[in-house]
Amino acid sequence: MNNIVIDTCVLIHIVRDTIAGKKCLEELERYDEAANILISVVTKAELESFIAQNSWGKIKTQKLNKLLEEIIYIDISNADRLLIEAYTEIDAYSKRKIKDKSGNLMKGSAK
Amino acid sequence: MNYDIKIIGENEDNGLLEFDRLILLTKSTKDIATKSLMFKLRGFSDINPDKNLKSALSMRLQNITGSEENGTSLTIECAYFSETIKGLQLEMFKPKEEIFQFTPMALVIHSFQTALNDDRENADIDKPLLKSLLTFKKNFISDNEIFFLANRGTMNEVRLTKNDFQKIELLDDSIPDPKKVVVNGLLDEMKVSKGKLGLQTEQGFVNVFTNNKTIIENIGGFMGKEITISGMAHYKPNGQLSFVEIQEYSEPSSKDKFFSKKPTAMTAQQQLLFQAKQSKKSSSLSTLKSISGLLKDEITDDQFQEMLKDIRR
Repeated sequence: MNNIVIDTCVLIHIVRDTIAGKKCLEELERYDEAANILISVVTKAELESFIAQNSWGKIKTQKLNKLLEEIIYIDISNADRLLIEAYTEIDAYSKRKIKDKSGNLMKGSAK
Repeated sequence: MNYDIKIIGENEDNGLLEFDRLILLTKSTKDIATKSLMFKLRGFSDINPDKNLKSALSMRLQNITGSEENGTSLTIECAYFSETIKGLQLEMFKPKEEIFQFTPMALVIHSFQTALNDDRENADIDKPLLKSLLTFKKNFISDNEIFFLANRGTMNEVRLTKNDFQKIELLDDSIPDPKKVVVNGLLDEMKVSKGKLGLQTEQGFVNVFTNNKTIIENIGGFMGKEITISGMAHYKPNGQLSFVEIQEYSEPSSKDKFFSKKPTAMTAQQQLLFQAKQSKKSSSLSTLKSISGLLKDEITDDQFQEMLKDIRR
């Protein structure tokens, strides 16, 4: 079983049921049907902020919160060196600034 | 109770023990016994024992023999803590019954067994004690040497080679370094003789500790009241808080509840294991699928695009 952390953008696309959201679900399923879905505490805070900003109705808010309770949240700890290293790598990759062992920009970096 | 320390494997010193090595061996062994006892009694190993506890930690070299074929054997004699601590300081320390079954040398063997156990997450040990175990490595004069620590039957013997210390180093690395924290909560437990306090916070119970007599004498006025404590947080191998060592304390201000929380230093992996043990969260893809489309008709396309832009800011 793989642990997969999904970002707020992915979660929002899924709850909005966009084409991108559907694709994400398909990709996740293809990657690992029994995947363990994780969410950062930052995503939790961003979602709660959206709920407040968009004045969601009580029923919809409760439904989303109940479902989100089923998902594991990961806190960010400054003692977690591995987590910070992983963030550094993903962030550099997403900005096309990650370098390979020879010091050249890595091909295929995300936009 | 008699214990054996047997050293084999190094031809140059097999059956012999150079004087400097003897000093290092006795000092490093005693240091482990001392820290292990303090850890069992106080929950933190880096505390100097008082004279009565020092006496209970006596380890006497009864015999030393050796031959080129069989290596060097030292016989150590120690008394059970049930004979040395129980009668003397039961009222003061009220240690766990478990400690009475040990002797100083048994604590040394037990500490190595704990540190070398594969269940690293649940190792009941702290950083200063691990440092003492790692110092024992200096007793090795070559990679070939093997140290046996045994008590003739009642405990499993410990077999140590230089390589085993890599495992202890990994355990040491897995325990987060102590860090400065601020914790706010209700002071609802005090054990003056032990320097131990208990703080009830919104995130759960926090063990607090001090070696400073002035603090322990003066903090009593906060018993049953809210207090803000700043100090060094010490962690367990699983990243959870072991205790906070008090440096300062004060009456709480209105902002304290927000800025002072029960500290943890769990890695993402440890959080995952911890949450999996604590709850029945499914965290599966099916949960994610079940929220698909929940917002579909709730907001317009423009609002949705605005939300996405908001995240990227």
